[in-house]
Amino acid sequence: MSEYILEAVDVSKSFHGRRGETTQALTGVDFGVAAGEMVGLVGESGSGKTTLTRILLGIEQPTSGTVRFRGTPRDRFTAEHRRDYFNSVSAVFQNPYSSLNPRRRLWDIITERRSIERRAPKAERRARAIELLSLVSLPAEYADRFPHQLSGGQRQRVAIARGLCEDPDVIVLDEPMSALDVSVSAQIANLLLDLQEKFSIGYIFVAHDMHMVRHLCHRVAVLLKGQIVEQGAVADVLGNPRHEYTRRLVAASELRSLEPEEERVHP
Amino acid sequence: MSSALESAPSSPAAGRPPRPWLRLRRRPGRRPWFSGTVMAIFAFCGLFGSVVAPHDPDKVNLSQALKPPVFAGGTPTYLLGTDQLGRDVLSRLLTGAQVSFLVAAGAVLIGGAIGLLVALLAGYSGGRLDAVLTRVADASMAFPVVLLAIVIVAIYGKGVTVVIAVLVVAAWPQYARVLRSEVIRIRTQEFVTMSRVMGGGRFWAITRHVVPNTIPTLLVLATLQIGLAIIAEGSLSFLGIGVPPPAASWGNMLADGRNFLATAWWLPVVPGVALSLTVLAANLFGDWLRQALDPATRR
Amino acid sequence: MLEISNLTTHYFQGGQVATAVRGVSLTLNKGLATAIVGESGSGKSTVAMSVMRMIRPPIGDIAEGTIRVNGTDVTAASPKRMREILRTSIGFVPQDPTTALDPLYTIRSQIVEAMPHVERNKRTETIVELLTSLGIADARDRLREHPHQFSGGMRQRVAIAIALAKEPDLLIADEPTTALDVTTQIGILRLLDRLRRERHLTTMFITHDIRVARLVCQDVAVMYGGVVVESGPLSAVVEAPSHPYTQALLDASSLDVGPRQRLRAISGSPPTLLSMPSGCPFAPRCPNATDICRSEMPATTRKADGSSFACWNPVAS
Repeated sequence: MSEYILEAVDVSKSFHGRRGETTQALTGVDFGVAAGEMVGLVGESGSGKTTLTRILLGIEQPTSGTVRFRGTPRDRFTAEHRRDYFNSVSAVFQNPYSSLNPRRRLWDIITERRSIERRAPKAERRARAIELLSLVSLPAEYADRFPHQLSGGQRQRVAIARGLCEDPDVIVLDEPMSALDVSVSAQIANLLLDLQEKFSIGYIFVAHDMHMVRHLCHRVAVLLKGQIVEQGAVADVLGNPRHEYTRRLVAASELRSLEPEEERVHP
Repeated sequence: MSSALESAPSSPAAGRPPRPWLRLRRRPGRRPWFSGTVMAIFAFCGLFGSVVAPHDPDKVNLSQALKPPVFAGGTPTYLLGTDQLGRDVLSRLLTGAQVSFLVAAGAVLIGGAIGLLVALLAGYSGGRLDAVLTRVADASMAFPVVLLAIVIVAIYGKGVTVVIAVLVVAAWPQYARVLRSEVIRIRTQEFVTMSRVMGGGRFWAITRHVVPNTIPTLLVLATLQIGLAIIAEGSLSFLGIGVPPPAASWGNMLADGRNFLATAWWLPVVPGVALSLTVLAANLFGDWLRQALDPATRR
Repeated sequence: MLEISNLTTHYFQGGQVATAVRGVSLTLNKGLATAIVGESGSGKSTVAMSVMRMIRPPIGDIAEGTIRVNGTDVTAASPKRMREILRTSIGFVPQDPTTALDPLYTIRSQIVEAMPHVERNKRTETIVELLTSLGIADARDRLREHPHQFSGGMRQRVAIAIALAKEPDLLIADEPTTALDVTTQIGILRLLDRLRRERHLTTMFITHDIRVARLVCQDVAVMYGGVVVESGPLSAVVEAPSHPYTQALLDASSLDVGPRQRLRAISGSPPTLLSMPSGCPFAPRCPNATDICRSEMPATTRKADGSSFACWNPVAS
């Protein structure tokens, strides 16, 4: 249990709509990530994947339940915990076009964290940015470029470099490949594996591509309508799915031809 | 599918981009010679107009009345001629520019600042405060400017400050309405979310991410408002509820000169041309500035 | 059915000419589905837009080549004739059904718009029949509903209904399942496949995912940097790819390397429209590239299995 660096314990979340109605986005979710581990989080749109990651990242507060970081619940954070949390938990988002401020240079984007609390000097930030760029295989002269001068895959590398800035222990990867081309997403997958090997980072990998989850993850959790219906080692869950929804998900991704099964009409 | 497109697409010229007779989108990197020069002159006159004026703009000299400009047969003493009271038109134009400049700068800066502040407040608070601010902006926009001007003038009397105040009241809701939706659009972008993941607070997100990204919209609005403010000052002065005579303003000069259109055409034409040129240049300059500040079109 | 020969399409960008499609020749056989596979910037969507003559000044222009739909050259057709062709012969299924349907109008009125040839009193019947055959169960009750009342998959079915209402000969589907959930995708793919078989619908299926293409298509054209690098029967191309790019694409998307092993990725990124190399567009990323690849465009070679490729140093089989 406590081997998790970051975990959600019995987390529920409900949203209140304009007309007073309540939608239950998450119900009693237990989910966590350990060092050097890659956990997949799968489910259809609206299943609560995004809400769960936002709660883990501290952008959203759970209605009930807690988020623990290195065993300490978020509501008992001291200033010291808080600094450690913001340095050690990081994220890479889906859309490399909207995740980089178009009006900032790359060195400034990559090391934004260092200017938030410490107001680190520019020379230090630039030097760190160049280190990080080389870590994600981008040339040092990109430090002074603007995001629009880069391709989608290069931007995603910049987003990853930003995520690495303070040597994090956990990175939430929210569909980091889904906006990229096939040939480029393979590069990003390799990069993520390399970085994990080097720094033993824990990844939470939100994805809809079951092939990638099967390939990259140690464990996987399946979310359906705000509840985790199945969770465990990838080989177990995807190799021998117990829940009906997981079965459909696996079947859809393993389909080799449309012929054998009859088309099913369902709403 | 208009008839203009009916020519066969595979003409020999195909492969070359069409040459629009009116280039609406300027090529990036081209310098704004015309608008830049006009704006520079306007700003200079706005700041130092009364210093460089060759004559006292208010000095009446009936013996020199209604002299035409030098290019229409007048004397070099009065380059742009004189009015019906013998006052030097050039000097009045230069000092009048100070009024226009003050009014334009004041209305745009104060109106824009209030509008942006309200937009940030509304766009970030959401809920009831957002609804209230939006309704207040709507109500202010529905209020007739001229009526407002008359009321304020009745209470406080005429003056440049009053003109600016009226224009600010008329302008801020326009900034607020447009910028509010910009703020909401930008604050939901992933780079703003990311700044929260990194521990940045609201103030950080606003100053580093949201405000800089509203600049293009702010500039478009501001350049439109510069033109509107100059024209509005002219209109209010023309109606007699603006800058009180004998102080020169472009609106006063137009109002006084309209009776002489047939006999001394330069009296309305000179301030009219100055006003039109400035408004046009403000719009062009704003377009250029927006592109120049955008990293995506900057080379 | 659809014959594209030597198509070259430009875009005009800020006073510059960007060539998105360079000399593409392609034949779609009647009643078969042809996949156009490529990454962003490969020109795959531009080919489809050119067929529908959607690229015209000031956005861009078809500079060269002919596109024959049922024998009519659409590049030379008058606007009136072109509207006629679009109204009767070509159906289009967009990528994102959310923005493709007008939120202000009911489902019925949006489908009716596409079926002017059907008699007024038979329209409702025809639409209900069509929607039912597309897997919308309670079609009659849902005619008066607006797009926001439908889920993503159902919206895509409505978009397909609009495309089919005119009973087209050619269906162009531009990444029709990319915006949908995995489990919903399969339903739409099955539907498109069934429609093709039942209606002998010639289908142009644009996708970036060769795995999806394998499920629904019989033929394939692989595009890169504005040219078709390899084309032919899909099974032949997939089993024995000759172009290094096709090979690389198959490598990158087949995850048979064992869990958490490095994927065989292609280094570098695809060329942009304004930085297109003069020779083979894949040369800068190609493991087999030699000097001639960088300077001269290779000619097309036909193979015995019916496929063809354009490469100086093809993959040894």
